[in-house]
Amino acid sequence: MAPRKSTQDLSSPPRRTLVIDNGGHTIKAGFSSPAFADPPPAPSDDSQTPQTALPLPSIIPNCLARDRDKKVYIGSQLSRCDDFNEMIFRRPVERGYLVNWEAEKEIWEHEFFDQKAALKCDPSETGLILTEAPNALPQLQTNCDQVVFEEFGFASYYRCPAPSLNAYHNIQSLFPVPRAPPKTSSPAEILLLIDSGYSHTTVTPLLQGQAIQPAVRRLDIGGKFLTNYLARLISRRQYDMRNDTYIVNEIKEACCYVSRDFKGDMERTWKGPKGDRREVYATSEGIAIDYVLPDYHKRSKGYARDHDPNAAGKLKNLTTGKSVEAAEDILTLRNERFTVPEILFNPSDIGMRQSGIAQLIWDSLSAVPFGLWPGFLANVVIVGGNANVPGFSERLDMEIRSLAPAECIVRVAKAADPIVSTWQGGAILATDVEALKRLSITKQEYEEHGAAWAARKFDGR
Amino acid sequence: MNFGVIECVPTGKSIAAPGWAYVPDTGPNVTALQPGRKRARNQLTTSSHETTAKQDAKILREIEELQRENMRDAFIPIPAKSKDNARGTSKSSSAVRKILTSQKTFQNHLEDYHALKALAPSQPSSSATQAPPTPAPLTPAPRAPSTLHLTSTGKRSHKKKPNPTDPVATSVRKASTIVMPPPPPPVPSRQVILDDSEPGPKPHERDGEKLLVSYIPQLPTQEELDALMRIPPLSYVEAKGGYLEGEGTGKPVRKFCEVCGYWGRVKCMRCGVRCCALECLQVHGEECFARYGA
Ligand SMILES: [Zn+2]
Ligand SMILES: [Zn+2]
Repeated sequence: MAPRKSTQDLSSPPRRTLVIDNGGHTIKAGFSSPAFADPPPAPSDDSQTPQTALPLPSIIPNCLARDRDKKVYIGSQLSRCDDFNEMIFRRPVERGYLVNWEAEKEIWEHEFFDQKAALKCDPSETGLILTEAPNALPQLQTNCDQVVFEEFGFASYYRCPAPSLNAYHNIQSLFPVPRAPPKTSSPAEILLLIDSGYSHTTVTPLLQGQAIQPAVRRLDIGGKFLTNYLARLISRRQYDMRNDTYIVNEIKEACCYVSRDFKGDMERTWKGPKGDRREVYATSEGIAIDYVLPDYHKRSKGYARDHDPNAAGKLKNLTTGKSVEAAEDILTLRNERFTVPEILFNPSDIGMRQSGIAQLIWDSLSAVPFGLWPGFLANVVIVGGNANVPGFSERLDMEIRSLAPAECIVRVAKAADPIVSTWQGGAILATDVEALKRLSITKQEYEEHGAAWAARKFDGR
Repeated sequence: MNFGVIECVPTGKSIAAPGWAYVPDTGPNVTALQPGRKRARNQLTTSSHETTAKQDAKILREIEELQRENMRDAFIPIPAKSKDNARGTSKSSSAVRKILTSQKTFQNHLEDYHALKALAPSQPSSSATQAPPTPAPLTPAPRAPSTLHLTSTGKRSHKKKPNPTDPVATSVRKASTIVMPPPPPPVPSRQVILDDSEPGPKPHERDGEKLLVSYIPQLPTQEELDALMRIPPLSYVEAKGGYLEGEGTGKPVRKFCEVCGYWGRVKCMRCGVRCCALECLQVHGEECFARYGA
């Protein structure tokens, strides 16, 4: 509890809002205030999208990490680490939900409250917008509210499902035939938001920025799952990298794609029957790719390059750690490149008893009045890190079309910056003092009415 | 394509060679096997019966592993030095202190939640959701993922029309025939888009219309919408997406080679693992032998 000298008039909202999109992998955090509504003095980056440049958050690893030398890193300190071999992580967010407040508090203090914090603020003078994954457990929500007010003492607070903040973007600008942005900062009227992040993938139909709760659906596959799956495949077929998920994640980001022609790509990458190596296998028509692993000696970051069929002899075991100066550790990836993200669309490929994303959308729409379907299908937006996997949105578009009634227009767009889109939506919301005030709870209200009341208010009841 | 694997694996030979036996698979991709399909499938169900439970358990375990944070167990304590730095843990109320020191996992919390719910199943508690597992739609609109899926089986082409015998599908069709502009010359059908982003410069008399007063038929009434928006969130378990399987989903389950990732066309008789062909099966066989013995 931090009841500082309350210089502030309790009826007026705090001047600044700290927007925290508290993801399982990274925290997206930064300040916003009505002043941000004015176009910022353009940071000269001509290559930016035509729309007015949106503010960007800091991206902070939401973890404690420990390297081989037992050195522990907190949140953004991880950028100082130069050896990710056998790195171990402790994450306060589990399955997408903030579970462990001991670790989260440590990270938040390091980033927001300590003397030297990069985003230092005084909570008693700051409003907070904090995201959570949909369908959170009530106890975890109450824990969160309690810590925010009773431990940190934020002046006001809005806890919301992360997908909903995306409605504050100018959604129409994402589609090929955009219209002039709406004049007000009111949320998009109708939006079907797909959030495919680190922990899972959710489908949330939103009307005026508000989720249609009975229609929210979740697929228990996210970026972590894909990384672990890739690690398993590499470990079975090449090196044991099961303890190197950090590196495998980088391999995934550099190499994986969603196939448009799964069966075709499968044929292109098959070695052929015994004793009859197929010619196409060598390069697999460009699918074969080499990933040069970091040795944290001369090369601190790995990279991908075209497959060199003659380099195979240079392989050596990563786990021996000893690197010969000249040698490179190379992984050659073929069907791993597309069978890994494929499980987002076909979880049954690995025996999982859940339908893929397209069917998940259908599942969701089935709980929505039919008259709204055309609106949702014409306004599908994808956010979250997996949206950056090449081919993801094209494939989803294709699959939705094949399920949708022929008369329905289907439009699928990837957010301009899928990873920070949710945060930016929150930052836009925070420029509208009145709107945010309606949604938020002040510390005073919390103290007067209690935790149960706060929970009901955030539930919209 | 058939790469000769099939010839290596005579269909009648499910009964066992010494060591391990090979069974031709009848997966969706093995077109060459179509004629013998029924027989092969029957053989599979009998001969692999005892391995199924083991395999299912293995699959579950492997999926669970993929959700993990670290492959080996590890706990990183909060660094001591920054503990001195801690602002006011000591000042915290006991309730908050409890939260801050709790090492419960998500699974623990989930179990707590269900235990709590079991205690008061019908009692409205402020925090628990009261929504039924499969919330009834508020309008004639369908909860019918499977039906809809059915409309797109086979080649899943756009042109497939909803099955008219199905009430839900019928409503789909009705809606579209009554409401939509006559079957689509592609351009006019753009009007279906509910947002106000109709392309093209020409202003339209309906430009000002918003979603809720749009001309799409069967739009829910304001009361229906209000009721819809008042429904509380589903619980964590309820929100999990379902699974469609079996005939008619249009998406038969695919099987892959455990060794190289290509289609899993043959099956190890000892453990049920799939392989693409002999070469991979031999690789697998060594490992399998080591694990299960002769
Ligand atoms: Zn194989
Ligand atoms: Zn076996």
